[in-house]
Amino acid sequence: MKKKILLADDDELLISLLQFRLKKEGHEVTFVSNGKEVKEYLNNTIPDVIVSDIMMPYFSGIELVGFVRNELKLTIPIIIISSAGNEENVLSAFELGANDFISKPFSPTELLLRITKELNK
Amino acid sequence: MLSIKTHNPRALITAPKIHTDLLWDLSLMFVGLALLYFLFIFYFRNKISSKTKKVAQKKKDLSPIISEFLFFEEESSKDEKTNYIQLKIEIRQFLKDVFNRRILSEVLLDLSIDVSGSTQKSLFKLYKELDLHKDAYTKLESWRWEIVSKGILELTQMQVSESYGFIIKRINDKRGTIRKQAEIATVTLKHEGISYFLDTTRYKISEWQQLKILEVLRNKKDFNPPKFKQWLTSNNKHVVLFSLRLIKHYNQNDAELSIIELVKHKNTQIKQEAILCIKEFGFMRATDTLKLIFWNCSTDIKITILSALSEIGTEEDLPFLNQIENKERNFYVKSKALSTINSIAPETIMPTKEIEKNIAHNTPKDIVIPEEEKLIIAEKPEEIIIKNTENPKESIEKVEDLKTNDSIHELRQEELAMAINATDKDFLETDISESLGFLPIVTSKENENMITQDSKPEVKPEEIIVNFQKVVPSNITNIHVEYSIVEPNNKNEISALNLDFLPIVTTNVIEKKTVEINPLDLQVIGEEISIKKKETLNVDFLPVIYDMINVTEEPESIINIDNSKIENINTIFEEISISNETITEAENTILDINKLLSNEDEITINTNVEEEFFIPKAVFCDKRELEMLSLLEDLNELGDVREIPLLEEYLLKEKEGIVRDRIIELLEKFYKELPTKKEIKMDDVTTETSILEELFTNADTESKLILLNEIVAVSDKKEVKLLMNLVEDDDERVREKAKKCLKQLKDQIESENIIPDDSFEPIPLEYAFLEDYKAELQKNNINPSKISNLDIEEVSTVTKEPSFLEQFYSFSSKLFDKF
Repeated sequence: MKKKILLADDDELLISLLQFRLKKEGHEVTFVSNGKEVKEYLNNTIPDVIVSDIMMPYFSGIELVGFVRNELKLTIPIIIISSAGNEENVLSAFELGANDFISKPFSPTELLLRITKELNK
Repeated sequence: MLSIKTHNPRALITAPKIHTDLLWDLSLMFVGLALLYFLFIFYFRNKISSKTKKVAQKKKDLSPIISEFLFFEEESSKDEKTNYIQLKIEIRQFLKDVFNRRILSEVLLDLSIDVSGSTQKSLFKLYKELDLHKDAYTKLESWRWEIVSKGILELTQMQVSESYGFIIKRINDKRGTIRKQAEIATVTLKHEGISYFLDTTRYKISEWQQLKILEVLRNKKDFNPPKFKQWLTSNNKHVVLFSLRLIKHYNQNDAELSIIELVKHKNTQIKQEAILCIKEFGFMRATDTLKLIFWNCSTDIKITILSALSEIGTEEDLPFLNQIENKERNFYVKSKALSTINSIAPETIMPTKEIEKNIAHNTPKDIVIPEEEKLIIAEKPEEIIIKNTENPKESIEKVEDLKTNDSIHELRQEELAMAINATDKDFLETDISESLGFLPIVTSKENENMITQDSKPEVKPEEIIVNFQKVVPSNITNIHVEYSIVEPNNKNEISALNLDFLPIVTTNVIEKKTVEINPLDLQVIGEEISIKKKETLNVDFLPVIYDMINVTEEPESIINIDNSKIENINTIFEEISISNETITEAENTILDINKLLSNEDEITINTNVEEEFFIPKAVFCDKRELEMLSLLEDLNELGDVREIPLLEEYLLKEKEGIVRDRIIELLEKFYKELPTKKEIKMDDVTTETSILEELFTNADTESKLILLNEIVAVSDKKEVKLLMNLVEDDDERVREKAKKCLKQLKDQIESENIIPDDSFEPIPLEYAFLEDYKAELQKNNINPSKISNLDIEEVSTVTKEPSFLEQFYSFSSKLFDKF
């Protein structure tokens, strides 16, 4: 079943790779490279799942979670991508309402499984 | 008013005479330079940004192609496969450009950081397939350190294990960045890299580098760490330090002695790391070494040692810790010592600082404080109390230390003295009471039990009754002392001061008690012992010793007895009853003396011994005999069977005396060393070729097995080589069978080579003199077992144990030693 996935990361190469992988699975993928674009996109469209890097220009992943949960009042699943050793921020993200997290380096297949799991909940 | 001009004001503001045109020219030139500079910056900025854009664009273009490659599956549809092949062709074309190759390398390197699992593996595979690693190899050859370093990083990141050989050469590169990159690469690329690195590195391994290497090792999958103890002996102290850290990290506690030894290392870091290892692994054997080095260490090391002792220390270490607490001037060390004491024996040290002494003085009268608490409050001194002090001398030292400046040397002396005098408690107690132990105790009737350590008993002088008793100083050991148990009214007060060692002097009638006689006061009566002269040593009183003899077998020549196994001989001791009473008495006396020698504590000398007993007669040799004996001793030590002819010659010359005995002894010894069996030389055997070899070469397994069943019966030493080859045959059954056959064949050959006792064997020329030797013994009527004219029973034996003669020699020498 085709799902809308929002990928938010400033690493275009990784995003491109993930986009390819997710598209191959039949999902509709939109990617944005900074916080501003995320806000703009979310104001217009509501995706089925958000995959966001924790470190982004203008608008961090934690702020994104806060924005979605507190301002937009959305319960859509949010998966956070974090760098290794950034566990404290992940905890903050969880406190704000993130559903899952995956640490770099990660396997795109693993991310796909996590997305599928969140979509099936 | 008179004004005086001291200077010309015009002189200071005089402008230099420069032509205005020149100034204009200079201004124009600088403006031109500035413009040029801005143009230059503008140009390069644009160039760099355009290049960045170009790179970004290239990366953007490449990323779907890379994704296609990475996620391509063999089970894909036909269109996908066609697309994949098309992409491969495109990328080959694309990679013909060096710039594109560089971009692709960068993309793959970036992605390799972010992805893992199968995607990462695909990435590494793609990198190699596109021959991008060859570019990295080219970088390794560059003269610029940053390019070489980049090349190493690239190869490491893309897991090109083939590059291991190229990178390890740079482990000892003089350029630090290359060296460090090579170190990381060596450890990353292969499991054995860490061993190679520790073996070969000659440079310092920085702390940061150690952390990075450790990180690499931790992230390695299926990594089996080597035994890092092997690098504890490295000449590079940084390797030793790093090894210690790795030992600790990987919990390799099998290098206890080496680690304890490293505690004595000159390098502080190594010392500290070794102590930490000791603490981590709980090497209790290290406590003595830690205590030994403690006083010469820096504060940090001292604290580390104390920290280790708190983990591995026992109550035996408390005196040492108490000493540190007393002697150490450094506050931190002192505090650590106290905490260590409390770690070993909890609550030994109690808080003392700013504790109120008299908390009871404002207590309302109706509240009753137990006597015990009162006493503790009253007795609490300014200094820290150390309970359970095993050695009272410590308290003396504590007082003395306030007066004198101590040094490490003194401390060690005191430690030594403590160790020696640890048990001499009585002496120390006497020392505490200022050697007044002999004085009577003065007590008052009303206030007998008010004896405390700090305060004197408040007794009025008129109430004191003093009971004196006559003391005879000339014979202090004869003082009659009555000990009686005194039960004080207040037990707590008495327990605070232990005065048990003091005698209680009373007016009661003293019961006479027999004091144990001091051995030093014994009267010693010295008497002359007359010794009867005798020519020979009479040892008739000795038991006759027999070897266990197998009567059924033929007695073996005495020459074949193995001297080294005398302790294995089963001996039967048989007493011989001798009617001569004098000899029996002498025997008893000797036994008594032996008993005295063996048990020095129970000396009860019967001084009335008047009987004669026999001791060996002193042997006086002339100069020639002495020289001969010296020569024979040399022969004994350095010679072998080749000395037999010479000894035989001497034997013929020497007709009697100690020299002759010694020659016979040596001949016996060397004669025993002669070989009796022909040893089988397998090397010689295996050089010959078996006729069965060809059969075995062409035969199948079953045929080989059949042949092997029969081979032992028909074979000789020529077949040994063949069987040895068959032991390494591919087929297990053939191998097993060949092993058995080889063993049987060897036994067979050996049995054939043994010289039968009764068979005639021509004596080699070099041993021909032995026959002469035997004849000479017979001619001179010498019985080897009757050397030294000692009357002993002749014994012959079939075992390879030492002969009776040898046993007798050793026994007699022991006996002489006793005398």
